[in-house]
Amino acid sequence: MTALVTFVVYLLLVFLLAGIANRTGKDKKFINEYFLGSRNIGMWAFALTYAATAASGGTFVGFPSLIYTHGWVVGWWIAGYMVVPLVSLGLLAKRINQVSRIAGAITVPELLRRRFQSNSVGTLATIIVVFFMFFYLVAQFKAGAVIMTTLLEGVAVYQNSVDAVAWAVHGIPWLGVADPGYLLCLIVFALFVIAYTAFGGFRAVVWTDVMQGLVMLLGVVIMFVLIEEQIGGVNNATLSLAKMTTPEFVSGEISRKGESSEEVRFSRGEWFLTNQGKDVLRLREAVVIPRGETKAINVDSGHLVQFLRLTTPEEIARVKKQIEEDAGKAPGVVSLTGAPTPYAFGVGQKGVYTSAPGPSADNPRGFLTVLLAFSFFVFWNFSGAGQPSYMVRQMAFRDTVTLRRSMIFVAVYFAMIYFPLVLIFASARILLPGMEVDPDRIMPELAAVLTSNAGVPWMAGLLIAAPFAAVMSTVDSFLLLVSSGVVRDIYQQNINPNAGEKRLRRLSHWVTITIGVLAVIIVVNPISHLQDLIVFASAGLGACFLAPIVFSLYWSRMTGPAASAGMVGGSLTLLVLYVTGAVRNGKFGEYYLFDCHPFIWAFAMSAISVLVVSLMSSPPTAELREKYFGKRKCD
Amino acid sequence: MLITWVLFLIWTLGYNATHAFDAEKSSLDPILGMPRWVFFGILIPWVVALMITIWFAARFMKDTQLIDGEEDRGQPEEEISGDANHSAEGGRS
Repeated sequence: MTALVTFVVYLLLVFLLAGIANRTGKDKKFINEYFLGSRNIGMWAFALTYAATAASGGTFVGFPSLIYTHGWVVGWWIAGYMVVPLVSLGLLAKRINQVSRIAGAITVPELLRRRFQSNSVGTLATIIVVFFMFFYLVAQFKAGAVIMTTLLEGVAVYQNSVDAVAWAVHGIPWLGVADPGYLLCLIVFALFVIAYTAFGGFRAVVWTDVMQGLVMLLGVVIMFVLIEEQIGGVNNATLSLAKMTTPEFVSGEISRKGESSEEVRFSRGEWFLTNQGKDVLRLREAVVIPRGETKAINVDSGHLVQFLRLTTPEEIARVKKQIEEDAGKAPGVVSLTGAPTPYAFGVGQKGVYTSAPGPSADNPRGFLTVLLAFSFFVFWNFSGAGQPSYMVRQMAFRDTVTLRRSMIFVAVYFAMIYFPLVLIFASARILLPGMEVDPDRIMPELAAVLTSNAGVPWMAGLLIAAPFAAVMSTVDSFLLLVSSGVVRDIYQQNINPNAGEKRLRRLSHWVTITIGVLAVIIVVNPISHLQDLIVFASAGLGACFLAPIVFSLYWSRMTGPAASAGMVGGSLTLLVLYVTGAVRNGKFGEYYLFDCHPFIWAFAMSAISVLVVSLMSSPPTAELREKYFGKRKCD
Repeated sequence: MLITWVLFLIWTLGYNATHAFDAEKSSLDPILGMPRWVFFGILIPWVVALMITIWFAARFMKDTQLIDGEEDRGQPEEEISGDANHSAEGGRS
């Protein structure tokens, strides 16, 4: 409950800041102010909004989940971030800011439209931004709701509200099948973020990003100190991790224990002992023993119940002790059936969590091969540089002094966030075994355990505010980006170029709200792999926009048809590789052609398309070249 | 900066490809608590990359004047500083 109070105070501060931002920007030209903060961001705001937008739900939910599941090798997976500030800010920032000023553009599609004087290029860019950004938004909304659920577990008011929601949505298609706790948190989270984004605009987003960026940094530092203290240092964690072996998946039945014939529910994550106390199992999904029945069935499929079985003796001994203390309370007995399903890579191999390629449940070659590590080193740098949400920020800083100082700040910030997260969550296996049943919850679970062990439960609210801040700062930026695409690039450019300030203001608010609500409806029953959605959306945006934008900024011979070809070539290549992956694997995911991430192929196709089509099409007019390259001020 | 990116790609990929895959040895030789390959293949290059970025931004990158197009001129200006009470500063360099 004290954690909740801390968390609520944080939320109120965010709301207050957004409210002040909203009042401050009222005397500015609306569209320029609402979507770009009047192109006048200072050093701290630019650096922190850039860094906070980069650190999303993926950083604090999906990324920790990967570190927990695959071990130290995820440090190599993320290593490309060491040069991200240099590549993304150094390569594009100064020039994109200058060109967007010359063009008078406030969105990325508008930049392309004006640079090539082509409405079709701008419209195509808008469609691509809205399409991929929507996936990103969906993933972030899920992350926000998941974090909030963990924080509120066990709070009486929350439990009563969950019961009320369950009653209210019972029997309603789509909503009725959702977990009521998750649904409640999703609605509260969405209302909060949509409200301050819709009415505060870019200025509110930047100001709240500043606070959120600082909260994230503080959260990581506190978490690092707490975990290192509780596990006796990173060295101890690494040595323990080196002895660990991968868990395995088993299935079986849960039979009723005792005389009662009432319905019994078992939550995902509950622990069981079986095989005369030799096996330690963790439930992978919620199940129920219906009233009058003797055995549990899976709530969703009606099939056998799925468990995770630990295989590391030290982990088994530790968890067993805890289960035996609670033995009297367990209302079910487990009997296993069939053969276990082991990990595809790493079974029985000590050291698998401290070396490459890292364990994998479904890839027989492990988590990270050398070619895949190469792919991700390229991916983080170039997909990051190609994200419209970063480009918009690069269009908004005040001067080059701001840019230079921000670059230093962002580089230090990334180093203080990403590498410590690897240390923290590689160590987390020692404190929280068996989290493979729901790895996306590792961050909030660890926050709760660390603060509880340290006797400062109120601090859990602050630690959980860190990932929550990451999610919020990304959701608000992306909401604004999508709504700017619809309002500025579709409505104002194509439907009503003479729309007045008042109409644009009202439309911007409603579009932001509508997009947020649509994302919420979709994510009511979300897919389970948050990081997959985020990587898909990042790869799509990076592959589509990086080559067209870079060439348009630095190559005067580039043409409008080439920009369209680059965007279409990149998107189609990426979609084909993802569809192939889905068909081959039977689930959403990428297809690694020659072991390379689809982004590499999509980016290459996009760049080749830009080059070839530019040389094949008529050169741009002398007037256009003169405008953007004749008096070039930025090198 | 692209050359710098290539150099760090070669460093991390080259070192880790030859040292990170030895599960038995690499796990049991920690430096500052982390496996040896993480220290030399990730942490050290990260620190060097940070130094280079700081040098690039502080010493190498030149300041230039950013000129507004016609549409942006004449806008009222106020810096977004992250401080809600920060007053208007006006003027771009």
